[in-house]
Amino acid sequence: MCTIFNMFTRMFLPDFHEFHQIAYGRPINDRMGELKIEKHVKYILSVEKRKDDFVSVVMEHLRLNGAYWGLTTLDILGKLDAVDQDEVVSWVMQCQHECGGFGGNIGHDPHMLYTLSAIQVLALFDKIEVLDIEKVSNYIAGLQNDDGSFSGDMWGEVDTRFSYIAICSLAILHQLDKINVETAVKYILSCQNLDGGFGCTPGAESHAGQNFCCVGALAITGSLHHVDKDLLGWWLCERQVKSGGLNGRPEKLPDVCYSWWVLSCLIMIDRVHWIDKEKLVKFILDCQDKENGGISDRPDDAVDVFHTYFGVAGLSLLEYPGLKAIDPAYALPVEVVDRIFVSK
Amino acid sequence: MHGISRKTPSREEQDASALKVAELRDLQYQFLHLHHNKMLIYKRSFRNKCKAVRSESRALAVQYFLNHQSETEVDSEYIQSVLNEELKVVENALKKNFKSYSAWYHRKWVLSKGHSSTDKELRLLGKFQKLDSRNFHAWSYRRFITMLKKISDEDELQYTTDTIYDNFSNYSAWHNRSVLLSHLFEKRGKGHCHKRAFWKRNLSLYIMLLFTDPDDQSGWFYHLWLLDQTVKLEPFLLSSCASSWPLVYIYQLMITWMDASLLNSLHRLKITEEGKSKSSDWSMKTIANEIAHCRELLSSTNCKIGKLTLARLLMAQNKLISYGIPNDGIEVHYEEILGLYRDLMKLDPTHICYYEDAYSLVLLKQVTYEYGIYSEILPSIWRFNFTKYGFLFLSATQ
Repeated sequence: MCTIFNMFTRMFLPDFHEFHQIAYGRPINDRMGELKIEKHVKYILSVEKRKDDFVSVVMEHLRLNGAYWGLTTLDILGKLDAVDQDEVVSWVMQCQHECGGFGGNIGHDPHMLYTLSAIQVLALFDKIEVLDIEKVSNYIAGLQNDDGSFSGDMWGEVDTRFSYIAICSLAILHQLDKINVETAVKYILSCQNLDGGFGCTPGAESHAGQNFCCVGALAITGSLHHVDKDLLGWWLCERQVKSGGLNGRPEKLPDVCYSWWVLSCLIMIDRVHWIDKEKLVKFILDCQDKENGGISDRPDDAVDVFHTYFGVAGLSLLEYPGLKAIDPAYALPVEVVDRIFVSK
Repeated sequence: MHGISRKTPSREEQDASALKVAELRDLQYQFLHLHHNKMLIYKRSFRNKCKAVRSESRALAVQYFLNHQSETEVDSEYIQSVLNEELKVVENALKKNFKSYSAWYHRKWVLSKGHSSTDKELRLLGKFQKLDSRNFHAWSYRRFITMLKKISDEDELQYTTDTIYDNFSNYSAWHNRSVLLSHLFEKRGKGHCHKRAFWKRNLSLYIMLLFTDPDDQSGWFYHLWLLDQTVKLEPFLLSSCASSWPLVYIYQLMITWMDASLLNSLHRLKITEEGKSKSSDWSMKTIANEIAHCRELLSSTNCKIGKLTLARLLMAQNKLISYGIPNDGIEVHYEEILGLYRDLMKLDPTHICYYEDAYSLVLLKQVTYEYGIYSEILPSIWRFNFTKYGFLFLSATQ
């Protein structure tokens, strides 16, 4: 459905202007509140240094994901140079195993989940060349199954999250030809549901996170024509609840992380105008801890680096002023993606 | 962070946390050391200590440590006893965090070794699903167990019916229902009369939810799919054709507006007269019934889904009329549909742009209808490649 026809309808219905005032009238940050950039930078740098509290110990095994969330947030905020690049790169490489896969921290088992984060962190610093690309690519390609799906690791869990990880990783490394893209796409499509969305395996319920993974993978492989954009667009836009926040499934509570999962999908299928962007910006800003920095899942909950990243990335997608643009499929700043694909 | 309030912990809470951290860290290090050196963990006392770690830690090595053990150990009795323990460990881990992907997968892995009864798993699943009937991990695990146990789709469909009657607001149950129905009809082939009765029962189930709480989204998408299937059951004027050359382009009746996958398959369709009147009568009657339900709902509740569904149903009815299907004097409804979308823009301003786009599409259809341009259907005597024309229409409206 095209907005060219909005012009067509205005010719016939002058009272449309009244409705447009509601949707487009106010500037985006008029009475919105403010993004506390300096506080969030300080918060992320403090998390990087923190290793001995209960949460850090329990989450030790996914520190590499945390690094990706924190560093990408810093980059979007224009503060990536606040970290010691060499120290981070050296630590990342120590997480790699002989098989080529990366664990979530030094000494932890390799898995797709951390391998993508490793590649993305190196991409942020423009240090992909430190990788043995053949080794990493072979690890990822080796996890593709006959039906086109991907396992997360040697123990065989299958999930469309891993399809996205494989496709995104190999695309960044220019090694997509190492996998069978056709069967990979076919498997993703077998997870498509009646509501136009995608689940983690065939028959599984649609979830915003899985939708991001599947739509992202289809976007990267040039297969978005398989998506029913109007149907999925309606499902996605109905994730916006009265508070302006987005939930991940019908009849669930809103959560800042869906500002990424839902929003990036809407952008990829060109339906982002179907939500009220201003209300979503306000919801994200209300989830900030304005004293100590960081963003939480919903107002007054404890902050964490995961929700801080998704809140800031969501604001970037919403074109909040002062933030670097982020690519909705690769989940990396656009200038990083351009560096990978355009300057090569 | 989910479920944790933003407040500074008290001194006592900080001290308790510090002790827990020290213990957890120590156990985790021991665990990883044993794991890296592929040392088997025989001592029950240590395994008991590890249970605490494994309930708290989501580290993969911790979750999957047993996998290495069982692949190395040759004493099958030992392995069986450890696997039995493992099921208990995973159950406790799930009770602490029933959204852990790795814990659910690990349980499947243990089960694949054949060391638990599927009846027992179903009972456990029943308890988890009572605590959280929307847990998609549990539903996925349920599909896994029912496949192992060879439980029929019909029995599982009854389970979803019971779950829905327990609580209408269960999107997961409605979704699983749609998956099971799809399987059932694939298996049973094209028995249209049987399907019609079945669709009628399922539409009735949704109507109960709609009248209970029209703002609850749980059944919206299921209903949309059901209506779409209702019409797809009756590919009126069409039969599938092996030819790859398009003869006639028909816009199949869709409650949603554009279906990319539909357009991709259009070259396989051709017009026939087979089954025309039976199919079209049933489609028209079904749509008319649904319209009546919507009007009844809107007479008591000014609800969004009522207006949106009515608008879609009226569009579907218009399409049927434009195909020349007998309509008992019912006329096309574009003005009413446009009015419904204007109401929706006021009722639901958050999604104003969605309704604007739908409005503009309806307006386009009204204008082309009034000018006698049938962009969606041409007589069967015309041998013309409509695919290009149809895509032109599609690209203009996207």
